[in-house]
Amino acid sequence: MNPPLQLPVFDAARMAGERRAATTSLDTAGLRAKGAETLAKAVFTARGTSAVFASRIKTVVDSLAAGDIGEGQARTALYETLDALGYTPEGGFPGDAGKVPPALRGTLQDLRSFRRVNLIIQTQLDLAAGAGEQFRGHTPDRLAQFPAWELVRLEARNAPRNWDGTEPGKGIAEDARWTIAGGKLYGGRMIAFKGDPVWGELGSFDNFPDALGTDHPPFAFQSGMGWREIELAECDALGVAGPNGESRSDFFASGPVVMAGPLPLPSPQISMRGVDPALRQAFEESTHATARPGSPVVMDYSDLLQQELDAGRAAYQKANPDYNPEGGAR
Amino acid sequence: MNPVPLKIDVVGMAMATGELQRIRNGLADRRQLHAAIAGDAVKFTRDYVSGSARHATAQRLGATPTGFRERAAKLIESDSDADAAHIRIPRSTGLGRAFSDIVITPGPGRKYLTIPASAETYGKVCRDFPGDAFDFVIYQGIKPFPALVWAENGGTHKKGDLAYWLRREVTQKQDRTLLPSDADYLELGRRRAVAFIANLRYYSTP
Repeated sequence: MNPPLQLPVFDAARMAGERRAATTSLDTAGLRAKGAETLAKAVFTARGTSAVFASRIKTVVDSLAAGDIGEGQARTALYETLDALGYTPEGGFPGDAGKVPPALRGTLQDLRSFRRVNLIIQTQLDLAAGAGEQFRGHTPDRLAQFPAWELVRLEARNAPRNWDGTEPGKGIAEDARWTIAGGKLYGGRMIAFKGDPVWGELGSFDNFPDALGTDHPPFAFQSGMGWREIELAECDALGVAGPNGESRSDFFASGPVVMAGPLPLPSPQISMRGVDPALRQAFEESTHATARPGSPVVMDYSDLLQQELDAGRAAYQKANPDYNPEGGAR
Repeated sequence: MNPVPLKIDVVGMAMATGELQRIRNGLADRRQLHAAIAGDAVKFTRDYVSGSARHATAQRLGATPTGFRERAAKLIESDSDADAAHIRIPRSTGLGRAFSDIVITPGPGRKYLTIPASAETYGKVCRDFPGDAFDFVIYQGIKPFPALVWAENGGTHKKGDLAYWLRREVTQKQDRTLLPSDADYLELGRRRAVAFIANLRYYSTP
């Protein structure tokens, strides 16, 4: 019998674990040219040509995301790996001569500097946390309860970038990242539905040179920005709409897709458009389905789905006596 | 004596059927209620953790706060199922100290914990500095205190200034105020449940 699958407890650790380590001699601009999807699934650092170092970054980030080690321990682990590999800022890793330009000791280009190691740790941890938040927020129940994200500042910055046009001395709203990405302000707040293309645009290399190529926070290097979930009633009160002005139900019924894949429908639904009224009434009575406000042809049918799942589970259990619905095979 | 015949007519049921059905459906399966509570609870906890002004050590050393609490808040997660809503807090945030004392010891292969003793070392481990940045000394008091001092002048320090205290073990006392109280969470859950049921009147999936 196979042992039960051990998934990490934390969503961030789960998302970090799904990425792979990779090496590159490219700088940040060169990395962008590799494409967002490739980058999103890999742990890179610019000019990191050692497979051992890339692998170590991934291991350290996995442990950080799981809460097993702190940032100081993570930095120490990377310093020790670089020292053990014989890295020097002038020559890079042994055998790298000519592959990577020499770096000035202590600068951001020096992989062994505090600034660089700290940047690697914090960026990778922020990416894992952002992916974890997106994963949890896109589950059907969370989508139903909290259909939108609000972009907010989570960490103060000495020189904040112009996200919503309100940062002092940072230009006008037309130059704001939110505006460039196609976002709409609701009472001055940067809010959009989960799965709205604005999130991908905010993290796109094509729009912003410091972008990370993801559709979840932190969107850009050291942005200090993050998400808050916006609940359904607040969304409706603010009149949050889709990118083309669609209503909430129409937007989610259109099957929005994010980089991680299609969004699930917020709840079990079926369209009854064009169905004979008598048949529709019979369906409502037998399943207790209810019409969505504003979209009477879209029916929620949680009860029916639950009944089908229960019936299917019972049938499978009858045919497979060893089946344990709580934890797979006994 | 014969009982008085009593006839009760329930009126208005036809109109209420839709609302009642939605409330029945919404409460029969608690996943969405728990998802709503989980979402509220994680926001509340993150705000509490990141909003707590606890920079006593940084202020004492004249250092800039490192933003550790804001980063710790980002790592707090929530989850829910049909039975409960959960808040998950990584051990590395140190917030477990809300529930018990925490004893910190050096990691494998290490002898001492390094406790920052100056503004320049606050928020950093000694490996963040060049290998020859510090000298090991033992101060003689009532009992000996091992420490690291700066090996050379530089930055805002002079040669011989204290950089880190060295400790074999540190015990951090329980501090329940690091996280919201049980009463706070109960009140949050109660409020969300009331709002959830109220919303069921209008939303088939609130």
